[in-house]
Amino acid sequence: MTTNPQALILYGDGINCEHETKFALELVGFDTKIMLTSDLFKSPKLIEKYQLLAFPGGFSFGDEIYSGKVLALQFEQLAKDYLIKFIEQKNIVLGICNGFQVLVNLGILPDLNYEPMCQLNHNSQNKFINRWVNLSVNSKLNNPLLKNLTNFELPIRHGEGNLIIKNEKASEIILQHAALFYENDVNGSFAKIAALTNKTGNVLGMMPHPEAFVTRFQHYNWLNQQIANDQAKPYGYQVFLNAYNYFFC
Amino acid sequence: MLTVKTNNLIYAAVIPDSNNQLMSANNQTPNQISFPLYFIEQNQGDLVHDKNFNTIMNNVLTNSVNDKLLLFTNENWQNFINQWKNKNFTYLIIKHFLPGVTDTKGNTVKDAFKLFNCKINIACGNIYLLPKTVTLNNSLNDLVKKLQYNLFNPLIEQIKVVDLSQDYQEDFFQFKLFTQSTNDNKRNYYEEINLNIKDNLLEDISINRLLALSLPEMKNVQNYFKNTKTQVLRNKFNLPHNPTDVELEIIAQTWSEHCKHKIFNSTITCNYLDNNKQISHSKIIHSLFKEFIESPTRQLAKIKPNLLSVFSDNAGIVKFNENYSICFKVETHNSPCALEPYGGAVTGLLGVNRDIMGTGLGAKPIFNTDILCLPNPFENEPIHPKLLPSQSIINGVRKGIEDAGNKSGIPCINGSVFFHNGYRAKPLVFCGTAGIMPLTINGLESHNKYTKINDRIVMVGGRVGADGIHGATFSSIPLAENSPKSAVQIGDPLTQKRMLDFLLKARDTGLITGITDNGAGGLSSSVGEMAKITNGATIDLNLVPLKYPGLKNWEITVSESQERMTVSTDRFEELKQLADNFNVEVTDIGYFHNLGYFEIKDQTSTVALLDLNFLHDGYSDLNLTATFNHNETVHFISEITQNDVIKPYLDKLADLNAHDIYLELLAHPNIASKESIVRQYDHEVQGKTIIKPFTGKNQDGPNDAACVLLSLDSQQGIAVANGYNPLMSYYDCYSMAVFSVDEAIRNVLCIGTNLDEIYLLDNFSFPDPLKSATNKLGENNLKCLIATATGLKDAVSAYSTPLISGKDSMKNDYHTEQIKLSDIPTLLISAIGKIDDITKCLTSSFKNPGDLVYLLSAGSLGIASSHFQSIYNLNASWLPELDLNQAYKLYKNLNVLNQNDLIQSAHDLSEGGLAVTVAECLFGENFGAVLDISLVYKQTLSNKQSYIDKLPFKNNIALCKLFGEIPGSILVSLKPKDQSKFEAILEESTYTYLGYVTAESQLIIKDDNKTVINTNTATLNHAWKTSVCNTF
Repeated sequence: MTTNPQALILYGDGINCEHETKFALELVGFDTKIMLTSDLFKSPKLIEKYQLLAFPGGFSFGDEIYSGKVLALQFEQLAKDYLIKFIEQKNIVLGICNGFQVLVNLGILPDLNYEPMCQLNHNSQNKFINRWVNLSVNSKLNNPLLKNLTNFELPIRHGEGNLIIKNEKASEIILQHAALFYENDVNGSFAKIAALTNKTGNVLGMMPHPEAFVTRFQHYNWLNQQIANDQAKPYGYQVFLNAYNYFFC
Repeated sequence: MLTVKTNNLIYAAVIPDSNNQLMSANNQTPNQISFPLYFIEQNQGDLVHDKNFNTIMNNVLTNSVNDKLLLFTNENWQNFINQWKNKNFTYLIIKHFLPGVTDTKGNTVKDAFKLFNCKINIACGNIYLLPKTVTLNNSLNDLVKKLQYNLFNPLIEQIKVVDLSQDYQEDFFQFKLFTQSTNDNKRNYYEEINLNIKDNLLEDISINRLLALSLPEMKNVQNYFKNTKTQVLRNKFNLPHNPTDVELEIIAQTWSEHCKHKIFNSTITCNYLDNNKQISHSKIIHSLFKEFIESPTRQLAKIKPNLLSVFSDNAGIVKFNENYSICFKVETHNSPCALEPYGGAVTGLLGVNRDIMGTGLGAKPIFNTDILCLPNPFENEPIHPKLLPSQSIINGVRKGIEDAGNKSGIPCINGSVFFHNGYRAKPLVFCGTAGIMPLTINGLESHNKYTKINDRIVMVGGRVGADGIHGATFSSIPLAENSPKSAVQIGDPLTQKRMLDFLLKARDTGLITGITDNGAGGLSSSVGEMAKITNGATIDLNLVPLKYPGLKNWEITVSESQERMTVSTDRFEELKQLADNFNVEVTDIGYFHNLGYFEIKDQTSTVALLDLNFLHDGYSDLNLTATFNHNETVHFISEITQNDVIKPYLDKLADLNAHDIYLELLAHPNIASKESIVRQYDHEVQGKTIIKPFTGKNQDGPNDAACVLLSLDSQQGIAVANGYNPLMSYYDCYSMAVFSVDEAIRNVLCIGTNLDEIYLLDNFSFPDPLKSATNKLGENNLKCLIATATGLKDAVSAYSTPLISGKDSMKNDYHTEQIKLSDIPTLLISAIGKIDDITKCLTSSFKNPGDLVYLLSAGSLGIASSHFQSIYNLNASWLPELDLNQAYKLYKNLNVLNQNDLIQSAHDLSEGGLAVTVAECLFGENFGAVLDISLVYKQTLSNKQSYIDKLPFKNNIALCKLFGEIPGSILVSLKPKDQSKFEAILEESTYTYLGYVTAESQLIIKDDNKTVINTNTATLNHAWKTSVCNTF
């Protein structure tokens, strides 16, 4: 009998970080399954077997129309009720990069109770950016997935991570759901927001890639002795470990 | 009055919800505003009620946060125009693809509408608004010219312009958006081509049909069809005596230079002249490929058991460890990028990805590389009006590689950009990919193919259209004004990514017996090639799925429409079921047999039938001659060299100051940081890139090579780097080749690879080596080719580094009546290496203050071909040299040093020489250094006084030491405690102690007790980082 929490990782139609997301989840103790979105849509009930649903990074549907848009439409049409139930039952939904964009398009972030109020737009530089950035956690939220983290580094790899909001009224709500901030303005994002979470904290969407920093060798400067010493527990690993611990606390 | 709505088309623009957001903060008119425009047509008989359809359109096309849908009607169109006019915009432009061009966005929108049970026809476009720009003589034609290649490419896109200050045109909303389905029912099976004609008419056929076949080859074809045996077979299949157009096209694609490498396989008579210009002796080269590329590898294969498959499959395959093999391939896509840089680059990279997917039983791409040699955008050289502006090429190629790589989820981990006006004829766009395969898959060795008789032939992926017809033959001729539009293709990374996911699953499930890429030559080439395995194949064109009707049979056969693979299977039904889950189209189009021919049918009628032996071996060998002068050093001669203006730098040479040269070199576009382009490519997806393009605390110290893990839980890594030295082609093509190999190898060594485990690819990109009335320098180009191949052979043999695959591109020229341009002969060497224990990896950055700095070198000083020489136009023939044997020993020792943890960093000397190398080692941690170069290369100067005397700065030899680009040289740093062990291991190699690293960010370099450089690291970093940051 298995006691490990079960994680479902989606792939297909242009998603491309499923393998490293699987590796990261397994490293901290999850049992994992990579599933084609088309298979899930055929029998969305399958989701009930899992405790964590990961929307990995990538370019679902080639980022056409808007990034994350078409995969969100598919969920909306084919599996949204199951997804809502999954969230209500306090399971974890983790959206990374393109996965975050999907969750925003679905209206699951900032929270299901609101009208659409934000969107991840083209970076202010109008360029794709792959670089490591400094992040700080919104300590007010006590998000379970960001425990034991305050200021840390992860890579960003996106062309559309610039969070824009609908109006003044939305800004207040968005700030209440901001889980992570960039320390510097890297893409023009409103209030330098790098991640959003729902009210209950079990849905987290983030532009930076935690799965890209789960071993020290993935750091850009791991051959520097000081970095090597500091990175006994890589920050991305901590995010996944938090997810694992969520089910045992 | 303008009519908006025509036919059943809906014109839907997605515009910003609030106009305020559009304007910049200071309320000035922005330079350009654009938003998407969709041309939507509901399928007849399938019309959803207007109101519902509007809801669906809103759902699909907008995000309802900052945008809204605007459906144009006559009334609101007027308002729309007035609104922009009032905001001081002068021009409105509507852009859309030409009919038939791949519209990836349109395809996705269609998919999205299907979720709501709506079938639509769609074309995607854009609306642009431009403010009044600089004096345009108010002519719309002027504007269109200005926008050409910036806002649109006329080969694939169309624009319409409205001058908002003028009255509108009546027919403005008439667009030709979709391909017309004409005459499909009356499609002719084939056209018979009469070959019983005179020779000159045979040549005309070849030229007019863009067959790129020579007269001897046309005569071979003529003879084949005259043959009685041929005729007996043709009668049986009810085919005419003459070839059909389908057959002629298949032959042309199969025999193209692109596919058969006729120049590399030609017989070359080399005549060597004596002092009196008499032939002293001659030598026959039977095949440059066999003698200079394949043969050294065959020799090395005796001691390198890991070479699983070389020069035969789509990529070279090397056994990596007990479980996995690695395959590697680099392709060029020069001609397509010259015409349509974006599409050319996308299809170039996706194409080489498919080479990897089509190697053995199919490999998974694990990284991409891209090396670009482009015309210089920083010099105002005269550009022929038909050639694209350099900046447009840069923008298009950069974006193409970004979209193809990022959207496929394959990290682009290594590359390089080289600017030179010697690349005006065609830009060189090298796209490379490595892949990984389990050594055995379902009990079969993965590096073979297992296609057998009666296996089904399956076309996988995209559909066939008129795009990409004649790519193979087109790239086998020089670019000219009438270069065919049809050769242009747009790629679709999403379709390919789905196909990749599907194929890997199908492979692991055992559904694939053989696989190859549908690249140059389309089905004619992929099926024609695979047919060799069983000795026959038959396909039915009527089964091939088309993008749109109206294609002729020969077009379907040779179309290079992208994102397609050809697979053989004995379990088609299962394959089909799996493909459906992945949203991938697979079609059973025929079967393999052993009847000795390649047959193409259209339903029941045979339209082509070619004997396989004739098809693959019937072309003519080329016979070429090259005459070498006594003791000639072969080098490139360009027709336009004489006309290039010599810059007046020579006057200033007396005042040359090392610091100024240093900054100028660091800012040189070939040397300056390419961070701005590198960061637009995802180099970390898949999570295995452990040596990234940049290192150090500021992420700005450049690494020589990259390394990916074999798998996420592995301790083994694969290193990759490249080397090329085109400036040397102006002096000595032999050395150009040797130095290119040397640089590629040093680059991978510098991150900790072992010389014994390095494998190479060669990519020749040359100007036309066939002498003719229009190509007078052809023979010299051929001599360059021979010299380069000779250098390549000598270098790979000396280093014991086998070549495992390669490619040549031989027509990098541009001909018109007014101008003839040829690219510099360029040899790109790509290297992969095995790193057994990644904890032994090295990077270029100095690691600790106090560490000692040494220069290791097997080279000798010289300044010819350096960037220092080229920016100051120094008239110097003093060539640097390389002792290959010394280099071999040095590189072996470097590994011993590293395995014993005796070095902290390693960085090779390349563009910009020692000074630039030192600067790059400082950047990562923002350190400084105190160095003395008095002894550098001293022992190599003994017999060079005659060269030194000719220099305009003969008393300042430090400039040569600082900025000469010396092969075989590596800068390392080590901990002081390791110094004696370090020197003991290097006993037999040349090393020079230079000084030490400092925490203070100041660089001081002395020569013979004089301080020649004293500057701040930040100053150097600024020059290096800022010069090309806006170019990409």
